[in-house]
Amino acid sequence: MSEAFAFLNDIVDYGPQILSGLINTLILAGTISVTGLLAGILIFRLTLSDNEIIRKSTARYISFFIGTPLIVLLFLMYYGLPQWGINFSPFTIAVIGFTLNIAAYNSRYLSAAYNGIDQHQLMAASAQGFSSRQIFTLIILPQTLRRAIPGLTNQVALNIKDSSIAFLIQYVDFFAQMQEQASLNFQYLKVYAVTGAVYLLLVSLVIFASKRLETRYAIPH
Amino acid sequence: MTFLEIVSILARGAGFTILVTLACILTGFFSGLLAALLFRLDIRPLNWLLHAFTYTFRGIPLLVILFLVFFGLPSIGLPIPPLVAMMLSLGLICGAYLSEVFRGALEAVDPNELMAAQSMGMRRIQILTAIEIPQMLRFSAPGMLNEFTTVLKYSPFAYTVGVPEILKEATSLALTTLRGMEIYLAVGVLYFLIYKIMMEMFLWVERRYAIPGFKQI
Repeated sequence: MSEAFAFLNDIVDYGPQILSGLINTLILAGTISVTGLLAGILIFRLTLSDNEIIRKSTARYISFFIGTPLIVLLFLMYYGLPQWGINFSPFTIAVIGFTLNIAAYNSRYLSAAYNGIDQHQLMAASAQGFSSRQIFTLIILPQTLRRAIPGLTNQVALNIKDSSIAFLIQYVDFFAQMQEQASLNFQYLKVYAVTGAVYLLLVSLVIFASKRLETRYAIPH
Repeated sequence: MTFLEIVSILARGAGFTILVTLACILTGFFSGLLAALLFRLDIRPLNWLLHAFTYTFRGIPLLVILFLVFFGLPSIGLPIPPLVAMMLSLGLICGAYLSEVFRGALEAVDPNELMAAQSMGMRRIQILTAIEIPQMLRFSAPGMLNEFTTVLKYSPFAYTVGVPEILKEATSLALTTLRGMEIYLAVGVLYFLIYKIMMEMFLWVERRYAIPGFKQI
């Protein structure tokens, strides 16, 4: 009992650092979720382009980012760019790397949702004289976004989990602070169990919100 | 040092990358299959346990589970070798995701076939191995490919527990030559190549065992 108390005491003593780490995790996960969604919409738009070269290069982009590990991209920027005299902060590098990667996944969710749209709607719209831009923003996007909610929110949960790799490029997030904590009190098992529980809680909140969003924005039949 | 020389040095780590990936895929495949089949028994306390397993392993970051296993278990007297630590973290995470894929695919098997088999006097285990599992595996192919790809892409984290795979070779090479740009670019290309080869092999197996006219879900 006193041992558990001492462990809690350690965590409370280290509280401010852990809290700042948690905030950094939330900032990073929040930022990349927003930028990843916006970039994902852009990539999805490019997959619908009339220009074959654009369509092909977009497909290559998606396949490349789905086929290579994100950490390699982060290391490329973190250890490679200074060679050309470009120095970005770990946060900037994480945001750029994650955004490029998440965009590829989100565009795939949107494409899958797009395939479920009744193509007659698009024909009807162009017969009515809608420009391709209007068709995209008024007809395609609202429906694909709604249909893609499960995939897109699942990506947000993944973003929270994956943001934990940012400590490898010296971004001081929640996981980094907990590792520091573990190396101070040597209670690796307990500290990492608590760390896991906190991530599980965050992910659970996203899943809960996702279910709410899904019912709220379901397309009525 | 040319780009090709860099690639050839990094390729030494590729063996370990493939080893880690295969070990984790096998762990994931069998644990996922076991979980999906146990779920099929529909025993309530067991169902809760299986739900808890999939929920936990899908909700916690790989690195946290990896560090918990690799640094945490030795502190209670259970030293874990790096490869086993990867199998217990990445492998079981893959298993948690795959069990959901398998469960969905099992439900897609036509129940009339099971009834027909029963009336022909087939035993439960025969129905499972001769009718349910063969169809389920074919239904699961796209989901499995997805999860296997994910395993490959998370395999570089094995370097954090000291497995000398591609990323490990790259970090030491980058430290000595300070040419991070070319080195990590080569790493990216190498992973993409492995990904392509793995995908082609998977699709080949899928085609090899395809049944003409068998409808996919």
